[in-house]
Amino acid sequence: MKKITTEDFIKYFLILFIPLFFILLNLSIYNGITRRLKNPYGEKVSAKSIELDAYLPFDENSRIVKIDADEKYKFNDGDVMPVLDGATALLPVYSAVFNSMYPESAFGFNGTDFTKESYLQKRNTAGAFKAIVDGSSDIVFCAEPSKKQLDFAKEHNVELTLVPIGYEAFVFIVNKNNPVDSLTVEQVKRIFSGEYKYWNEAGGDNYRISPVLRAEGSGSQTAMHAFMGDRKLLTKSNIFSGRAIGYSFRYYVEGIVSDTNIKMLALNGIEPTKENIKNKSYPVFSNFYAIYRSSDSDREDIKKVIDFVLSEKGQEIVEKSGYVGL
Amino acid sequence: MKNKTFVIIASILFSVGMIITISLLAYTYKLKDKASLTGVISTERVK
Repeated sequence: MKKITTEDFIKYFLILFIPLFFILLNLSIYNGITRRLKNPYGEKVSAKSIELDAYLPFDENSRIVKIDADEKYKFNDGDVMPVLDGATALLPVYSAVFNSMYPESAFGFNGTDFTKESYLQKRNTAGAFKAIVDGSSDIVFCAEPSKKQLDFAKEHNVELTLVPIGYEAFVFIVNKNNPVDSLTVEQVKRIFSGEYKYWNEAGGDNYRISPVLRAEGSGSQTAMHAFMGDRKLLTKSNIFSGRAIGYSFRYYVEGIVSDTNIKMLALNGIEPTKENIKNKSYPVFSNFYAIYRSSDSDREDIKKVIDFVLSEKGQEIVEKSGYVGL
Repeated sequence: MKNKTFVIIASILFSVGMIITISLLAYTYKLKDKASLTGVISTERVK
């Protein structure tokens, strides 16, 4: 039997070591970074945010609030009716308004999306905003438009009227294993302006803060700019490492919290509960609106929808859909 | 083991390892633009 020399031993060791090294390296990259970006909750979260089927009007199994509008608010076949559109998160509200006021013939759904002819659409905040400017939609339900969106309307000589129809808490979210449960408004501003780099500066552990920003033009990002006031918001997310912190509206977050590892932070010690939003003790909230072209302000059909949403029954829809009424 | 055989095997293993690592990094970098807020927060792994 041939004796293995030291040189051979080193060679065999290296041949085993090289693949082992790459396996460990790649596993570390995958677990540390790739997995975080791949988002195993993606499908579940998307399904919740765009579950159109669950919020259709005139559907027995729909999750929308079903309230019969008074006769004076109802549209009949052949009437001039405004096209309703808006943000995904507000679909339960405007679909319920549609269900209360419109005839079934005004609704069209092809199984995956609303038909072109339907008077109910859901183009999301950015899409709905463009649609109201180009005239494809008549009333959009969304959070406060961004400066860019308002400038876009101005460039197209469209003036918009924003009617507040309810409000919602703006919340900050972290992983449920993050030891921090509450931050002050000032601490949040310091995190998102880049002054705080580590969680221990805000009462947490010694991990780097990973602030996650949202897309410009989204309702959350516009609200975040308003929250920061004069402070400069970071321009880039740090999503590769550290303990993350992000922001959104309570209603959207609440729907997904139960299925993921996310928790909402209290602000100045106040939890973002519906009661605390209603009594305005939670410090950060913003209105959401029904928006229409100011040039249409004399349109009776538009006035009818706005009046209904602001009426007792309309506000009941807002409340029962999970938001906070005026 | 002959030196030549060792160099060939080691080079192949190293090259394959490098290709896989570079591909994984490229894939990860590409995911950066699609990363969602909830995904990043939900899946963070810190102890």
